[in-house]
Formats: sequence, C-alpha cells, structure tokens
Amino acid sequence: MLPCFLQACAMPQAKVNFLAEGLEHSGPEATLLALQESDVSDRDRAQYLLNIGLLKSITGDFSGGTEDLQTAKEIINALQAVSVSESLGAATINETLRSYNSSASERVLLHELMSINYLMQNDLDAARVEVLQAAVVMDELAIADELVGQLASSHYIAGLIYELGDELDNAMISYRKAEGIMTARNLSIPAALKLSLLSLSQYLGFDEEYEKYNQRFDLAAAVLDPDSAEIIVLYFDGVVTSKEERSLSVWAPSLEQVVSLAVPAYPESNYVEKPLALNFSGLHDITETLEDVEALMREDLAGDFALIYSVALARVIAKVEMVKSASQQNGSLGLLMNLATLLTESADIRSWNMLPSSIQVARFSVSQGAYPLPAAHSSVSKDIKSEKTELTVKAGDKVVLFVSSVSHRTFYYTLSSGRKQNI
Amino acid sequence: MKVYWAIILSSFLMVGCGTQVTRMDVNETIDLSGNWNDTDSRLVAEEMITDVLSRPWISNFVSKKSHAPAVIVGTVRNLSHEHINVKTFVADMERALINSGRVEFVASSSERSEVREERKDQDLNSSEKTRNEAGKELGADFMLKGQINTIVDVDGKEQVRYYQVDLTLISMADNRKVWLGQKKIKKLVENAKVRY
Repeated sequence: MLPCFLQACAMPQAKVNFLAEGLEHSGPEATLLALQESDVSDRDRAQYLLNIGLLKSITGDFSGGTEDLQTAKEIINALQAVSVSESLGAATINETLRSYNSSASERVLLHELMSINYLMQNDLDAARVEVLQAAVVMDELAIADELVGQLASSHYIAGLIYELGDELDNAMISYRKAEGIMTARNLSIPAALKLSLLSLSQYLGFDEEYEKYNQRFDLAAAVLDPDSAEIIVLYFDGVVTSKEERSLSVWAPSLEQVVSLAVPAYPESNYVEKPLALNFSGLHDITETLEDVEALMREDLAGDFALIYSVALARVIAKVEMVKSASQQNGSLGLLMNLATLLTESADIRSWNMLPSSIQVARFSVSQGAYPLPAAHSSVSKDIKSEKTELTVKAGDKVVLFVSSVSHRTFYYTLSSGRKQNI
Repeated sequence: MKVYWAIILSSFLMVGCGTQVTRMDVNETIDLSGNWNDTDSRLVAEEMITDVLSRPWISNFVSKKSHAPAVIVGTVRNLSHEHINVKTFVADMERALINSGRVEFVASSSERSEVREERKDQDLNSSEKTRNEAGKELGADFMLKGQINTIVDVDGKEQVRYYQVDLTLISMADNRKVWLGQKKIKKLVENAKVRY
C-alpha cells in the first residue's frame, strides 16, 4: 500500500523531468500547458511554481510569472526551517517525503528572474526590491571562503538595475562583486562586465581602480557617442540538466535481506554553450557567459552531499531494522517488508530543471534608429512569432533585451534618455 | 465507547483542517512574517499626520496667500528590501489632511488623465448646465514626495530590519522644502529553525 502511495507521488516528477528535457524542442508554450495539466502535491508545489513562473516569464506573461514566483518564494522561505516529520520520513522511507525547498543557487536565481520580470514590466523599483532580497539571501548563504549560493549574475543584474536607477556607486559595488565571484570561480569575465567596470570606475573618479581594470582587461572605457543608445542583452541559453537517481541494491548475506540505497546525481552535462549572435545594422556581437547554471547546480548538490549521504545511511539502518523486526515476527512478513523497503527507496531528483544552462550577457552601443529584434537561434516554436519584431532606440536610451533560446520572443525594457545620467 | 471517542477525534481533526476566520480590530498588532504590514503602515501614517499638521508650513502659507494650500501626491519610491504598498499610508495622510479642513489635495498625474478624459466626454455629451469646462483645474502649491529605505542585517536565521520612511513637501513655486517627515521602525526577526 505504502509503496503504491509513494509511487503515485513519484510519477509527476518523472513527467516534470521529461517535460524539462523536451523544453527546447516543444517550446515554452506547449511545456507550460502540459505542466499546468499535471497534478501537483503540496510537497512539490514550490518546484512546480518555479517552473511555471519561469515558463510564463519567457513567454511574456511577466505578471503571471511574477505571481507564481512570489508564491514559490513565500513557500521556500517558510520551508527553510527543518521539518521534524519530513526529516523522520526522509530517514526512514525516502528523501522525496521532504517538501521541495530549492537549492542555494535556485533561491538566488528566483530573485534574479523576478527582478528581470519586474524590469520587463517597466517597474524598476520593484526590480530593485528583488535585487536587495537576492543580496540578503546571498548573505544568509555565505560561508567563509566558499562560493555556494554566491552568484555573479545576480550581482551583475543588481549593478544593471542600480545603474538604470542612477545609483552609480551602488552599481559599481555590485559589478565589483560580480567580477570577484567570477574571478574566484576562474571564469572569464564577459566584455559587458569589463566595460561596466571600466566606465563606472572612470566616471566615479576611481582612477587607480580604472588603471587596474585597464591593464588587466587590456581595454579602455568606451567613449559613448551622444547620438547613440546602449543595449544590454540578457540571454538564457539551453535548459539545465535534470538530476537522476543512482541506486544500489545488494543482497547482504549476513543480514539475510536485500539492502538498497538511492541518491540523486547529475549526469555529465551535454550542454554546449551557444552564444546569441547579435546583428544591429552591421554591428556584430555575441553574448558571453555570465553564469554557468549547470556548474552551479552541481556545486549545490555537492554541497548537500554530506547531509544526503548521512540521511541515506540512517535510512539503510532503519530499513534493515524494520525488516529484521518483521522477520522475527513472521518470515513472510519480513519478506514483504524487505520488498516494501526496496520499492520505497527513491532519490530526491527534484530541481528547478527548466532553468537555462547558462545566463549570458552582451553590452554595446548603437546609433539611434530602428533595428530588427534579435531572435534566439533555437529552432523551437517557429509557429509562434514575436509580437514585436522591431526595436526603436533614441539617443541616450538604455535598452535591456531579454532573450531565451527556448523561445522566439524577445522582450525589452527601455530607459529613455531623459531619465538618466550619461556614463 | 470507542466509536464515541473516534467521532470526537475525527470531528476535532475536521474542525482543525477547515478555514477559520477571526475578525479583529484594525488597530491590533499581529506580526506573522516580520515583513512590512498594516501596523507599520498605520504607525507611519499616524506619525506623519501628527507631524505635518503641527508644523508651521500651513499657517505660513495661509498668512501669505489667504487660502488653504493645495497639495499633490508625487512619487513615494520604495527603495526597501520588500514590496511595500506605499499607497496605504499616503491615502491615510490624504484623508487626515483633507478632513482637517486645512489642506486641499489635487488629483495626481495618473488620476488626472482619467478625469480629463471624462471632462472631454462631458464636453461632447453633457448638457450645457452640467458641463465642466477644461482649464479650470486647481494648481498644486506643494508636492508630497518621499521614499522608504531599509537596512537589513542578517546572521543565519536572525535579521534586524530597519525601515526609514522620509516624506517631503516641496513648494511648487520655488522648490523649497517646507516639511520633512520621518518615521523609523526597527524589528528583530528570528526565523524558525524547526517546524513540525
């Protein structure tokens, strides 16, 4: 009875993983519909809302996406306390009895996506709120000399939002943090971040810092033509790999029962970084990786491994004892109990698995005028065309484009020239 | 007897699962998450209303102009860590100031466009007697602007949240700041480490 009950809960996860794996081919609209049709248990609600919220966002339903992500955020925040009953369930039956409360990086990415959502809804102040909340979460997660839960992309987007709001000193701090994290992770700094650091350090009069960046990046701050506009592209590429189960079942002669153990793992990533090619009337540029989400997810899981393995070990011992106790009462009952412990052993393979594999960025200036909106290179959803195909920019504008490789739609936010300082 | 207890127990469980609604006084303080809530909004409104009505800017204006000052609500920016609806305490302030009879409020820019649309419609469709002409709007003497800022200090499950609400009345004639209102709120939020 119990295995059947638990099996019923495990089915939707297999479906979620299946949908995530097919997202690039099916497109976000069809995936969203399929996901919305599935039943979700309370334990999986946060994961469901994260995926739904993300899909709504990349299909342009920013207010709907924000609502779902906000609900997910509230659930996740409430689930940060350790549950006694769920821990007991995890230590005796399996880890899927815990409510899904997201990994460290997912908690930060949630705020990051919400800040993009608000920006695309033309609400810069609300985007700023999310940026601040992301900073609080990163502070909560911070462990000395470790980078778990510290996201360069989150700091970069914070810098961008501060910059759009004319808070250039705050923007500089955020860009510095983004650069610091990327350097600590041995990642190459994208040109967009290099240019922001150079421009701001020069504008704010941090001469020594400017010289340092100038020498390190072998690049000078761009001199902006007053007739030009700046374009910043945030590009979500690919779909992050889903977790899979690694299990082991062995006959233990000394215990006279089959012992089983299942833990989550990430398969080797097949993701090949595909930058977005940008062509603005002869100006060619490509996006560069700001965040390797594939690596972040693996880093989060590695950080949780000690706990996962200790709970799995406790569960093996508990199940052995349960089978032993049942066998002492009745041999057949022991056999049945052993079967039940094997069937219930299941790894928690839930994750926010519709996230992009990487978050990429590009920043460049263009002359004022009208340009065709860049489209993602993916061949999905060809029947669904972007409502807006042209982007008109005026001198001094700052435009943030939001593009996803799984969607043919491109969205943008424009800060018109009258509302900002030129840097 | 066993059946009796089973019924009582199941009834108890069913009651426990149902939605419960308890009506309460709006002035009662209930803090659930530690986030900005109705109590914070009320505290800000009370502080600001008391302060704005007790300062000399109104009497100074009346003695010079011989009429009540007209105020327009400008932008109150939320620069805090939370999504805060600033309209609640601004509306409380508007109500208290209008009801005091000492200050008049004019429609904000977003409200005005709707009123102007209606006036255009009146011009076409209303009778001569009831029609309101364009060009007779009351110009504001002061603009109310402000912002909410927060500082959050985090250590594990503990947070100290400090909110500062600053409101300013700016003279439309010469950009003078005639009143500065401020309310500070500090909270220690300890999130649960264990749940059932």
